[in-house]
Amino acid sequence: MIQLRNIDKYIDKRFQRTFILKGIDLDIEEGEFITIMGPSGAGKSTLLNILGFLDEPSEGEYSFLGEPVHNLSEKKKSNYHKSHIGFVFQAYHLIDELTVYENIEMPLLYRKVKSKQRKAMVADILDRFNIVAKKDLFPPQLSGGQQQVVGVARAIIGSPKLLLADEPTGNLHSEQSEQIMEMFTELNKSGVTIVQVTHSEKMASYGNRIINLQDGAVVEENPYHA
Amino acid sequence: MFKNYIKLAFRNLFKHKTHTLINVGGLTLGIVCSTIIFLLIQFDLSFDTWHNDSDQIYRVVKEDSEFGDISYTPGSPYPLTEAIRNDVEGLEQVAMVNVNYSNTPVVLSESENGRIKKFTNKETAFVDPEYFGIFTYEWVAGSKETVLNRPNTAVLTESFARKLFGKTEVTGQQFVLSIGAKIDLEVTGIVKDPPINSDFPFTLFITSNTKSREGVSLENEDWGSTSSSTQTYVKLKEGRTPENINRQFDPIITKYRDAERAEVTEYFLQPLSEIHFDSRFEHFGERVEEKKALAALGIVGFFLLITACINFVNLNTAIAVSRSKEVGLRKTFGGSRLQLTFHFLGETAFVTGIAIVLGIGLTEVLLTMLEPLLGYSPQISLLTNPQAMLFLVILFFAITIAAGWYPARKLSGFNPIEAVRNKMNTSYGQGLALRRGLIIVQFTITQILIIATVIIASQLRYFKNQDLGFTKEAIVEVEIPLQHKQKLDTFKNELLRESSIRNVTYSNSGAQSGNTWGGNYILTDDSSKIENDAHVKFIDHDFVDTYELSILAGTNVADTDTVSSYLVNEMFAQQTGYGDDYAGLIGKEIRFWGKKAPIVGVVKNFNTSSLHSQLKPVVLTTRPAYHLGAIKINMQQSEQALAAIRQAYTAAFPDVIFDYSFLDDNIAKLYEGDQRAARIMNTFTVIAILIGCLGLFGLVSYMAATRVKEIGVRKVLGADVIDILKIFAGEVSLLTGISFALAAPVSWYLMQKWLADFAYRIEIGASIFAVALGVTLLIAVLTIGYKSIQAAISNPINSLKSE
Repeated sequence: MIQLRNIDKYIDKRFQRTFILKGIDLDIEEGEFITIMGPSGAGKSTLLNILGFLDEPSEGEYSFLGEPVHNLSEKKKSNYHKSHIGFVFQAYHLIDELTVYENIEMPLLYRKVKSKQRKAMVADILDRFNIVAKKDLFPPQLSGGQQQVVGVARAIIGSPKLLLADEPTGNLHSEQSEQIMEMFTELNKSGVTIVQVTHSEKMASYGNRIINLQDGAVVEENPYHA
Repeated sequence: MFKNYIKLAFRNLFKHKTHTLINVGGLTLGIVCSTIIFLLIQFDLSFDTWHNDSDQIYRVVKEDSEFGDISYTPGSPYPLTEAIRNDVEGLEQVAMVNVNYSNTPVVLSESENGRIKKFTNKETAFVDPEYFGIFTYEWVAGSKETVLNRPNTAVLTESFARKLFGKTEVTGQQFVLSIGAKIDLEVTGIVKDPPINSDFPFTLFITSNTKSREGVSLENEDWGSTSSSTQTYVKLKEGRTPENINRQFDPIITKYRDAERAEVTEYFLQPLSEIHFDSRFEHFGERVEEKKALAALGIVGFFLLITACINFVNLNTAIAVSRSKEVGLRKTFGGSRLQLTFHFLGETAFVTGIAIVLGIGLTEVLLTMLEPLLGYSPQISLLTNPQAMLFLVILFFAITIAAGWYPARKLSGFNPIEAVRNKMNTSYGQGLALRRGLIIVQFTITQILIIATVIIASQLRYFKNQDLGFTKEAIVEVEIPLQHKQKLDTFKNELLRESSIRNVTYSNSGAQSGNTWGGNYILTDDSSKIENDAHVKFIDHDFVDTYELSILAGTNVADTDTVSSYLVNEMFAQQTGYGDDYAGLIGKEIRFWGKKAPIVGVVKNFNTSSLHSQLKPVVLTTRPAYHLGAIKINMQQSEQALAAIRQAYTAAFPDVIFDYSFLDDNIAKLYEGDQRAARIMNTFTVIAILIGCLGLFGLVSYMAATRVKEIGVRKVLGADVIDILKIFAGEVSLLTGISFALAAPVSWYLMQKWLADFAYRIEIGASIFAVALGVTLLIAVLTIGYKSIQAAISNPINSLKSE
């Protein structure tokens, strides 16, 4: 599904080049559940952003579903982005002025899904995640765990092929975290490829492959199952 | 501590350069405008208040209700002054001021080398000696008790003396004044030039009973004619009220005229302090400034200040988010809310102070450039004006509190823990309702001004294009001194020999002017007698052709200089009940100003005065009371024509100084006040728009700052640039829409009132509002463009970082 070849990401600042990522080679097959680990500043989030088309590598090749990303037009990129990729954030990033229902519905609006179909899809997801009762509440009225459940619901409503999660459980306590991880496992079983960044080995163990980053380079793949 | 605050204030201002620039710039604009408006209002309110006992000084004015219509005049019949002096009890002084001379006064003086110095002086008044007892002048030579107490004496202002004699020690000197007839005068007193804030701009005062060389004087025993150029002023004895005096006027009219006249005319006292402001009565100064116009100006100034303050509030809350951390830390380390409030208020005061200092400088510069805008040159100063300085001090505190209090309270109220953790983001949107409200207020003000500007401009264009019933183009007007018919004929024939001149006519006041003559006519029918009032034009045979009036029935007046026939207009036919039965009207005899003659023709209606007033019945007849020559020229050869006119004029009237004007310019001058209103409105509308744009920019910055995360989320979830721009555009359209809904009825009501002053006016149509709305939307979209595009194209990963 995804091939990264010799990906570099750096910032040039006053005659000095700072590498965030250096020489990353990575293959991700469809249906994998990958965890990226590593200390702060190792480049985990940057890698995730590059995978999600939010950032561009400074050098190297990235092909998505067999197509080289750097050759994709802006429009096509945007379309892939809308239809194939979902995001979950550590800080949930729900819009406080919108209700749970409206938050979940938002990606569909940008994909120009018809109103009737939208209703059906949101109702389905609310049901699946057991949050029907909360649909008219605003995010600040929910606990962190509940907010993240909404965040996941929003990320997958468009049935993405790839779900990217940047420390999805970073702000949650263990019970909530487990709930989210179980959700991820379910999704993964239904065919969604997942890439998550985490510091927690326990959360990492839900995945089936671990990539360890250090100073912008892959130091170890699958340190536990090797 | 204080030093620390100042340092911090400076750093903050430098850190947010754009923000500071907008804040200081907007405030400075608001301060400059309101200060200038304050000074203008102060200047107008100061007119003639500097006379000693000015509250005891009154003018005798008249309300006339003959024939039903009520009319007002500041004029007195000539004998009235003397009658008041003799018969009214309770007056300290009574004086006539008379400028009712037929020709522009020309001053002649023989200088030592025998050459004659000649110049016109329109600021010449014939006054009673009591004039100087009523009004306050500073005496350089002579005194109010001794001057003007015999005929043919004059009092000069210093600058006039200098102009005439080159010096001011001229008591006893002789000179000659020509107002058609030559008058010998002797200087008996010199006064300092009166202040400019006076509606008595005279520089030469002549005893009212002065006689010309031929023994003619302006004195007049006729109670029947009233000119607004002859006015009576009185000073009340201590303790008397105007009511005491007003009661005594009716008996005078009954005594000198008849009871019937006393019934329909009412004389009363108008306070000196009202003369500058009451548009029912003209005065000797250059303009009447209505109090409601001053109030409107004051409101505009206040509005501009409000809009500037609104900007300040909006922009300050917009950057509050970025300072929330600072607040949190200050609180964590022991700063109390009150301390922080004063800290932020102090910063506002600092910015306000800078704006006021800049404002003072800019105002001082702009004060010297006001004449093109106002059409007059106000002599006002800022720094030597204690009231204005007090105004600025009040402004300083008012702005600091009005603009600084809310942001200061808001900023200082941040919860320190949340603030430090920067969890403020969107939950800080609560103040948004207030900010939107403020922007709506601002937009409403701006749109009211835009609508008003569009309406004023349309009305003025309408004036310009309205058919007046005569041709106003290519007509040169010159003043004609009273002369014999023979001399006028020579002048006319001389002109007509020139190929570039098409027609020449003499009349009392031309087809249209600010100076209208009127009187009562009596039309005797077979069975009845109709008496009513009409405008009158004393014309010659060529009047109809020169002004291209169209004769609807009958013929032109005969080529004579005696009253042998009358032309009337359509309105006259209507007023007398003939409607369009012109044939029935022709041949009927009318008596006007004592001359009886038949009606020979009916002309199409034409406007004898500005379009502020309705069409009037007009009678036209040949009577040699000519003051104005109108010369129709060929515009292709205008230079040649003007040269010929100058030559013929100087030859025919050697005592008069040649001066000419074009009729269309003279007509444009009738709308001088409206033009001034338009210019002032335009200027302040542009400034209001400018300030409003700054405010909008502030709001969009605020939106972009507070919603940066939301925008990031939306983009990550698939929104493209257009989707994000829609959020901003939607917001702005909503605010514009609401404020338009508020502004439209208000401005409709206000402008309807303004238009009511014009007899000829435009309809306020939907298109005017459409233009205003379109302009506002366009300006709004242009203003928000930069900030919203910047927000829309920003990369979401920057705004969504959690670390």
